[in-house]
Amino acid sequence: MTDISPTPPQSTPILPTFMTRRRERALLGALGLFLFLAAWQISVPLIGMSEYFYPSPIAVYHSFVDLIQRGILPVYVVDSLGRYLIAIFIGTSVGIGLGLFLGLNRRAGRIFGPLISFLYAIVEAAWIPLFVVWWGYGFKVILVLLVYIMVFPVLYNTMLGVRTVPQILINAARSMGASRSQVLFHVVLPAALPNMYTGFRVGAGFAFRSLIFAEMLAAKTGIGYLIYEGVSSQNTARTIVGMICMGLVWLIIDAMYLRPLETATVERWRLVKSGEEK
Amino acid sequence: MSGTLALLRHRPVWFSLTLLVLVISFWLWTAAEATEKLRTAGLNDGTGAAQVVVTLAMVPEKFHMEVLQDAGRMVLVEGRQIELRDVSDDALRSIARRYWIAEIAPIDAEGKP
Repeated sequence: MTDISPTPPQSTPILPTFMTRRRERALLGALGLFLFLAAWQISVPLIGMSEYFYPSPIAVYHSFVDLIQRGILPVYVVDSLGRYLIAIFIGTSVGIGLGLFLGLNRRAGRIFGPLISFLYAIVEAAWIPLFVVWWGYGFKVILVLLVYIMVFPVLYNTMLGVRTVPQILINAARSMGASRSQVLFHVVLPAALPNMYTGFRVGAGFAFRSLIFAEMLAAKTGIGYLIYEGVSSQNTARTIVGMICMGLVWLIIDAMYLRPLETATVERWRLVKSGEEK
Repeated sequence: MSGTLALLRHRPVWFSLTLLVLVISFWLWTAAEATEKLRTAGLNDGTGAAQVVVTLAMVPEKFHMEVLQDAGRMVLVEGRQIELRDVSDDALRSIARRYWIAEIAPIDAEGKP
Protein backbone atom coordinates (compact mmCIF):
# COMPACT_ATOMS: atom_id res chain seq x y z
CA MET A 1 0.00 0.00 0.00
CA THR A 2 1.30 3.33 -1.01
CA ASP A 3 1.82 5.89 1.68
CA ILE A 4 -0.09 8.97 0.63
CA SER A 5 0.33 10.97 3.84
CA PRO A 6 1.80 14.39 3.11
CA THR A 7 5.45 14.76 3.93
CA PRO A 8 6.08 17.42 6.54
CA PRO A 9 7.53 20.62 5.09
CA GLN A 10 11.25 20.78 5.59
CA SER A 11 12.62 24.04 6.92
CA THR A 12 15.10 25.45 4.45
CA PRO A 13 18.29 26.68 6.06
CA ILE A 14 19.01 30.29 5.22
CA LEU A 15 22.74 29.62 4.93
CA PRO A 16 24.63 26.53 3.69
CA THR A 17 24.46 23.53 6.00
CA PHE A 18 28.21 23.46 6.66
CA MET A 19 27.77 26.52 8.79
CA THR A 20 27.00 25.90 12.39
CA ARG A 21 23.98 27.45 14.01
CA ARG A 22 26.23 29.80 15.97
CA ARG A 23 27.93 31.08 12.82
CA GLU A 24 24.59 31.52 11.12
CA ARG A 25 23.35 33.51 14.08
CA ALA A 26 26.50 35.67 14.09
CA LEU A 27 26.23 36.32 10.37
CA LEU A 28 22.58 37.25 10.63
CA GLY A 29 23.42 39.57 13.53
CA ALA A 30 26.17 41.19 11.45
CA LEU A 31 23.74 41.56 8.55
CA GLY A 32 21.25 43.32 10.82
CA LEU A 33 23.97 45.64 12.05
CA PHE A 34 25.10 46.38 8.50
CA LEU A 35 21.53 47.18 7.39
CA PHE A 36 21.11 49.48 10.39
CA LEU A 37 24.36 51.33 9.61
CA ALA A 38 23.47 51.59 5.92
CA ALA A 39 20.03 53.01 6.75
CA TRP A 40 21.61 55.46 9.17
CA GLN A 41 24.18 56.64 6.60
CA ILE A 42 21.54 57.01 3.86
CA SER A 43 19.22 58.92 6.17
CA VAL A 44 21.83 61.61 6.94
CA PRO A 45 21.61 63.50 3.59
CA LEU A 46 17.86 62.82 3.39
CA ILE A 47 17.21 64.42 6.76
CA GLY A 48 19.67 67.20 5.98
CA MET A 49 20.49 68.18 9.55
CA SER A 50 23.88 69.49 10.59
CA GLU A 51 26.48 67.04 11.91
CA TYR A 52 26.00 68.42 15.41
CA PHE A 53 22.36 67.28 15.50
CA TYR A 54 22.66 64.08 13.51
CA PRO A 55 26.19 62.76 12.90
CA SER A 56 26.65 60.06 10.29
CA PRO A 57 28.18 56.65 11.09
CA ILE A 58 31.25 57.67 9.09
CA ALA A 59 31.66 60.78 11.29
CA VAL A 60 31.27 58.57 14.35
CA TYR A 61 33.93 56.20 13.02
CA HIS A 62 36.32 59.12 12.37
CA SER A 63 35.62 60.38 15.87
CA PHE A 64 36.35 56.93 17.29
CA VAL A 65 39.71 56.75 15.50
CA ASP A 66 40.50 60.33 16.54
CA LEU A 67 39.74 59.59 20.20
CA ILE A 68 42.11 56.61 20.12
CA GLN A 69 44.85 58.59 18.37
CA ARG A 70 44.50 61.32 20.98
CA GLY A 71 44.84 58.75 23.74
CA ILE A 72 41.52 59.77 25.25
CA LEU A 73 39.32 56.73 24.66
CA PRO A 74 41.66 54.04 26.10
CA VAL A 75 42.16 56.09 29.28
CA TYR A 76 38.44 56.74 29.67
CA VAL A 77 37.49 53.10 29.13
CA VAL A 78 40.13 51.91 31.62
CA ASP A 79 39.00 54.53 34.17
CA SER A 80 35.36 53.48 33.85
CA LEU A 81 36.22 49.80 34.10
CA GLY A 82 38.43 50.40 37.13
CA ARG A 83 35.66 52.27 38.98
CA TYR A 84 33.16 49.61 38.01
CA LEU A 85 35.27 46.65 39.10
CA ILE A 86 36.18 48.19 42.46
CA ALA A 87 32.52 49.00 43.15
CA ILE A 88 31.37 45.54 42.05
CA PHE A 89 33.92 43.89 44.31
CA ILE A 90 33.04 45.97 47.38
CA GLY A 91 29.29 45.87 46.74
CA THR A 92 29.26 42.11 46.23
CA SER A 93 31.37 41.47 49.33
CA VAL A 94 29.19 43.70 51.51
CA GLY A 95 25.97 42.33 50.01
CA ILE A 96 26.94 38.69 50.47
CA GLY A 97 28.24 39.32 54.00
CA LEU A 98 25.10 41.13 55.12
CA GLY A 99 22.83 38.72 53.24
CA LEU A 100 24.40 35.72 54.95
CA PHE A 101 24.19 37.40 58.32
CA LEU A 102 20.55 38.36 57.94
CA GLY A 103 19.64 35.09 56.26
CA LEU A 104 21.20 32.92 58.94
CA ASN A 105 20.08 35.07 61.85
CA ARG A 106 16.28 35.34 61.78
CA ARG A 107 16.13 37.84 64.63
CA ALA A 108 18.61 40.18 62.94
CA GLY A 109 16.56 39.79 59.76
CA ARG A 110 13.44 40.92 61.60
CA ILE A 111 15.24 43.90 63.16
CA PHE A 112 16.98 45.17 60.05
CA GLY A 113 14.63 43.87 57.35
CA PRO A 114 12.27 46.90 57.33
CA LEU A 115 15.20 49.33 57.33
CA ILE A 116 16.79 47.55 54.37
CA SER A 117 13.48 47.52 52.50
CA PHE A 118 13.15 51.23 53.20
CA LEU A 119 16.66 52.00 51.92
CA TYR A 120 16.19 49.77 48.86
CA ALA A 121 13.07 51.74 47.98
CA ILE A 122 15.00 55.03 47.83
CA VAL A 123 16.16 55.36 44.27
CA GLU A 124 19.93 55.91 44.02
CA ALA A 125 19.59 59.21 42.15
CA ALA A 126 17.92 60.66 45.26
CA TRP A 127 21.10 60.05 47.21
CA ILE A 128 23.39 61.87 44.79
CA PRO A 129 22.92 65.44 46.14
CA LEU A 130 23.60 64.22 49.68
CA PHE A 131 26.59 62.11 48.59
CA VAL A 132 28.03 65.14 46.80
CA VAL A 133 27.68 67.22 49.97
CA TRP A 134 29.42 64.50 51.98
CA TRP A 135 32.19 63.52 49.58
CA GLY A 136 32.31 66.20 46.88
CA TYR A 137 32.55 65.46 43.17
CA GLY A 138 34.88 62.68 42.18
CA PHE A 139 35.73 59.05 42.62
CA LYS A 140 34.31 58.65 46.14
CA VAL A 141 30.78 59.67 45.13
CA ILE A 142 30.81 57.31 42.16
CA LEU A 143 32.14 54.48 44.30
CA VAL A 144 29.62 54.97 47.10
CA LEU A 145 26.75 55.23 44.62
CA LEU A 146 27.71 52.08 42.74
CA VAL A 147 28.31 50.13 45.94
CA TYR A 148 24.89 51.27 47.20
CA ILE A 149 23.28 50.08 43.97
CA MET A 150 25.15 46.78 44.03
CA VAL A 151 24.60 45.89 47.69
CA PHE A 152 20.80 45.57 47.81
CA PRO A 153 20.12 43.06 45.01
CA VAL A 154 23.01 40.90 46.24
CA LEU A 155 21.89 41.21 49.87
CA TYR A 156 18.25 40.37 49.16
CA ASN A 157 18.98 37.43 46.93
CA THR A 158 21.62 36.03 49.27
CA MET A 159 19.20 36.32 52.18
CA LEU A 160 16.47 34.66 50.12
CA GLY A 161 18.84 31.92 48.97
CA VAL A 162 19.95 31.16 52.53
CA ARG A 163 16.40 31.13 53.87
CA THR A 164 15.08 28.84 51.16
CA VAL A 165 17.66 26.11 51.64
CA PRO A 166 15.55 22.99 52.36
CA GLN A 167 15.75 22.22 56.06
CA ILE A 168 16.03 18.53 55.23
CA LEU A 169 19.48 19.14 53.67
CA ILE A 170 20.72 20.95 56.77
CA ASN A 171 19.28 18.24 59.03
CA ALA A 172 20.85 15.50 56.93
CA ALA A 173 24.28 17.16 57.14
CA ARG A 174 23.91 17.69 60.89
CA SER A 175 22.81 14.10 61.47
CA MET A 176 26.06 13.02 59.80
CA GLY A 177 28.01 15.10 62.30
CA ALA A 178 28.70 18.21 60.24
CA SER A 179 29.78 21.27 62.23
CA ARG A 180 28.15 24.71 61.80
CA SER A 181 30.87 25.86 59.44
CA GLN A 182 30.65 22.63 57.42
CA VAL A 183 26.89 23.11 57.08
CA LEU A 184 27.48 26.69 55.97
CA PHE A 185 30.20 25.94 53.42
CA HIS A 186 28.99 22.56 52.14
CA VAL A 187 25.21 22.96 52.27
CA VAL A 188 23.96 26.53 52.70
CA LEU A 189 26.37 28.39 50.42
CA PRO A 190 26.19 25.96 47.46
CA ALA A 191 22.39 25.88 47.75
CA ALA A 192 22.20 29.67 47.93
CA LEU A 193 24.69 30.21 45.10
CA PRO A 194 22.14 30.45 42.25
CA ASN A 195 20.22 33.14 44.17
CA MET A 196 23.44 34.95 45.01
CA TYR A 197 24.43 34.92 41.37
CA THR A 198 21.01 36.26 40.33
CA GLY A 199 21.50 39.15 42.76
CA PHE A 200 25.01 39.73 41.46
CA ARG A 201 23.86 39.81 37.86
CA VAL A 202 20.97 42.19 38.55
CA GLY A 203 23.24 44.44 40.64
CA ALA A 204 26.04 44.36 38.07
CA GLY A 205 23.64 45.50 35.34
CA PHE A 206 22.18 48.31 37.45
CA ALA A 207 25.65 49.39 38.57
CA PHE A 208 26.94 49.58 35.00
CA ARG A 209 24.10 51.83 33.89
CA SER A 210 24.50 53.97 36.97
CA LEU A 211 28.25 54.21 36.40
CA ILE A 212 27.63 56.09 33.17
CA PHE A 213 25.10 58.34 34.90
CA ALA A 214 27.43 58.98 37.85
CA GLU A 215 30.35 59.80 35.55
CA MET A 216 28.22 62.37 33.75
CA LEU A 217 27.67 64.11 37.08
CA ALA A 218 30.79 63.60 39.12
CA ALA A 219 33.79 62.63 36.98
CA LYS A 220 36.29 64.24 34.65
CA THR A 221 37.15 61.02 32.86
CA GLY A 222 35.27 57.88 31.85
CA ILE A 223 32.75 56.81 29.24
CA GLY A 224 29.91 58.68 30.97
CA TYR A 225 31.98 61.86 30.96
CA LEU A 226 32.75 61.37 27.26
CA ILE A 227 29.03 61.06 26.48
CA TYR A 228 28.23 64.22 28.44
CA GLU A 229 31.27 66.21 27.30
CA GLY A 230 30.61 65.37 23.64
CA VAL A 231 27.34 67.25 23.68
CA SER A 232 28.58 70.20 25.73
CA SER A 233 31.56 70.64 23.38
CA GLN A 234 29.24 70.36 20.35
CA ASN A 235 30.86 67.12 19.22
CA THR A 236 27.93 64.73 19.24
CA ALA A 237 29.86 62.14 17.25
CA ARG A 238 31.95 61.66 20.42
CA THR A 239 28.78 61.20 22.43
CA ILE A 240 27.72 58.40 20.10
CA VAL A 241 31.22 56.86 20.32
CA GLY A 242 30.77 56.87 24.10
CA MET A 243 27.36 55.22 23.79
CA ILE A 244 28.72 52.55 21.45
CA CYS A 245 31.66 51.90 23.80
CA MET A 246 29.26 51.58 26.71
CA GLY A 247 27.25 48.95 24.84
CA LEU A 248 30.35 47.10 23.64
CA VAL A 249 31.95 47.02 27.09
CA TRP A 250 28.76 45.61 28.58
CA LEU A 251 28.46 43.01 25.80
CA ILE A 252 32.03 41.88 26.48
CA ILE A 253 31.49 41.73 30.26
CA ASP A 254 28.29 39.77 29.72
CA ALA A 255 29.65 37.34 27.14
CA MET A 256 33.05 36.74 28.69
CA TYR A 257 32.27 36.75 32.40
CA LEU A 258 28.60 36.87 33.39
CA ARG A 259 27.23 34.23 30.99
CA PRO A 260 29.93 31.64 31.78
CA LEU A 261 29.44 32.35 35.49
CA GLU A 262 25.71 31.85 35.05
CA THR A 263 26.34 28.52 33.35
CA ALA A 264 28.57 27.49 36.23
CA THR A 265 26.02 28.40 38.88
CA VAL A 266 22.38 28.93 37.95
CA GLU A 267 22.14 26.63 34.93
CA ARG A 268 24.10 23.93 36.69
CA TRP A 269 21.28 23.64 39.18
CA ARG A 270 18.77 23.68 36.32
CA LEU A 271 16.99 26.75 37.62
CA VAL A 272 16.98 28.19 34.11
CA LYS A 273 17.70 26.72 30.70
CA SER A 274 20.70 27.91 28.75
CA GLY A 275 20.20 30.02 25.65
CA GLU A 276 21.21 27.09 23.45
CA GLU A 277 18.41 24.91 24.77
CA LYS A 278 15.61 27.35 24.21
CA MET B 1 49.63 20.26 33.34
CA SER B 2 46.35 18.86 32.00
CA GLY B 3 44.57 20.74 34.81
CA THR B 4 46.08 24.03 33.64
CA LEU B 5 45.10 23.30 30.06
CA ALA B 6 41.58 22.42 31.16
CA LEU B 7 41.41 25.75 32.96
CA LEU B 8 42.29 27.53 29.70
CA ARG B 9 39.14 26.13 28.12
CA HIS B 10 37.02 28.37 30.36
CA ARG B 11 36.04 31.54 28.57
CA PRO B 12 36.71 33.98 31.45
CA VAL B 13 40.19 32.47 31.93
CA TRP B 14 41.40 32.61 28.33
CA PHE B 15 39.81 36.01 27.77
CA SER B 16 41.46 37.43 30.92
CA LEU B 17 44.81 35.95 29.88
CA THR B 18 44.47 37.41 26.38
CA LEU B 19 43.68 40.81 27.91
CA LEU B 20 46.67 40.48 30.22
CA VAL B 21 48.99 39.66 27.32
CA LEU B 22 47.68 42.65 25.37
CA VAL B 23 48.12 44.99 28.35
CA ILE B 24 51.66 43.74 29.01
CA SER B 25 52.56 44.07 25.31
CA PHE B 26 51.20 47.62 25.28
CA TRP B 27 53.08 48.41 28.49
CA LEU B 28 56.36 47.09 27.04
CA TRP B 29 55.82 48.99 23.80
CA THR B 30 55.20 52.30 25.60
CA ALA B 31 58.21 51.67 27.86
CA ALA B 32 60.43 51.14 24.79
CA GLU B 33 58.96 54.24 23.13
CA ALA B 34 59.58 56.30 26.27
CA THR B 35 63.20 55.17 26.47
CA GLU B 36 63.71 56.08 22.82
CA LYS B 37 62.09 59.53 23.21
CA LEU B 38 64.16 60.35 26.29
CA ARG B 39 67.37 58.98 24.72
CA THR B 40 66.83 61.12 21.60
CA ALA B 41 66.30 64.17 23.82
CA GLY B 42 69.32 63.30 25.99
CA LEU B 43 67.10 63.18 29.06
CA ASN B 44 67.53 59.57 30.08
CA ASP B 45 70.29 60.20 32.62
CA GLY B 46 67.85 60.98 35.46
CA THR B 47 69.48 64.22 36.61
CA GLY B 48 66.50 65.65 38.47
CA ALA B 49 63.87 68.25 37.56
CA ALA B 50 63.92 69.21 33.90
CA GLN B 51 62.66 72.01 31.68
CA VAL B 52 61.17 70.57 28.51
CA VAL B 53 59.14 71.36 25.45
CA VAL B 54 56.65 68.62 24.68
CA THR B 55 55.39 68.28 21.12
CA LEU B 56 52.10 66.49 20.75
CA ALA B 57 50.96 64.50 17.75
CA MET B 58 47.89 66.75 17.56
CA VAL B 59 46.57 70.05 18.90
CA PRO B 60 46.11 69.56 22.66
CA GLU B 61 42.71 69.30 24.29
CA LYS B 62 41.63 69.67 27.90
CA PHE B 63 42.49 66.00 28.50
CA HIS B 64 46.11 66.47 27.36
CA MET B 65 46.51 69.71 29.30
CA GLU B 66 45.37 68.02 32.51
CA VAL B 67 47.80 65.14 32.06
CA LEU B 68 50.69 67.52 31.39
CA GLN B 69 49.72 69.83 34.26
CA ASP B 70 50.10 66.84 36.57
CA ALA B 71 53.63 66.31 35.25
CA GLY B 72 55.01 69.80 35.78
CA ARG B 73 54.44 73.56 35.72
CA MET B 74 52.94 74.54 32.39
CA VAL B 75 54.24 77.92 31.22
CA LEU B 76 53.48 78.12 27.53
CA VAL B 77 51.19 76.52 24.96
CA GLU B 78 51.88 77.24 21.32
CA GLY B 79 50.17 75.11 18.67
CA ARG B 80 51.16 71.54 19.34
CA GLN B 81 54.02 72.52 21.65
CA ILE B 82 53.77 72.86 25.41
CA GLU B 83 56.53 74.12 27.65
CA LEU B 84 56.83 72.49 31.05
CA ARG B 85 59.08 73.41 33.98
CA ASP B 86 60.18 71.42 37.02
CA VAL B 87 59.33 68.05 35.58
CA SER B 88 60.58 65.25 37.84
CA ASP B 89 62.25 62.14 36.42
CA ASP B 90 59.24 59.98 37.16
CA ALA B 91 56.84 62.48 35.62
CA LEU B 92 59.10 62.83 32.57
CA ARG B 93 59.14 59.07 32.06
CA SER B 94 55.39 58.96 32.62
CA ILE B 95 54.63 61.54 29.93
CA ALA B 96 57.18 60.01 27.57
CA ARG B 97 55.15 56.79 27.72
CA ARG B 98 52.10 58.52 26.27
CA TYR B 99 51.87 57.57 22.63
CA TRP B 100 50.20 60.87 21.72
CA ILE B 101 53.38 62.72 22.68
CA ALA B 102 55.52 62.88 19.56
CA GLU B 103 58.67 64.45 20.94
CA ILE B 104 60.26 65.79 24.10
CA ALA B 105 63.10 68.31 23.92
CA PRO B 106 65.09 69.91 26.75
CA ILE B 107 65.32 73.69 27.16
CA ASP B 108 67.34 75.90 29.49
CA ALA B 109 66.00 78.11 32.29
CA GLU B 110 65.28 80.93 29.80
CA GLY B 111 63.23 78.61 27.65
CA LYS B 112 65.86 78.31 24.89
CA PRO B 113 66.62 74.92 23.33
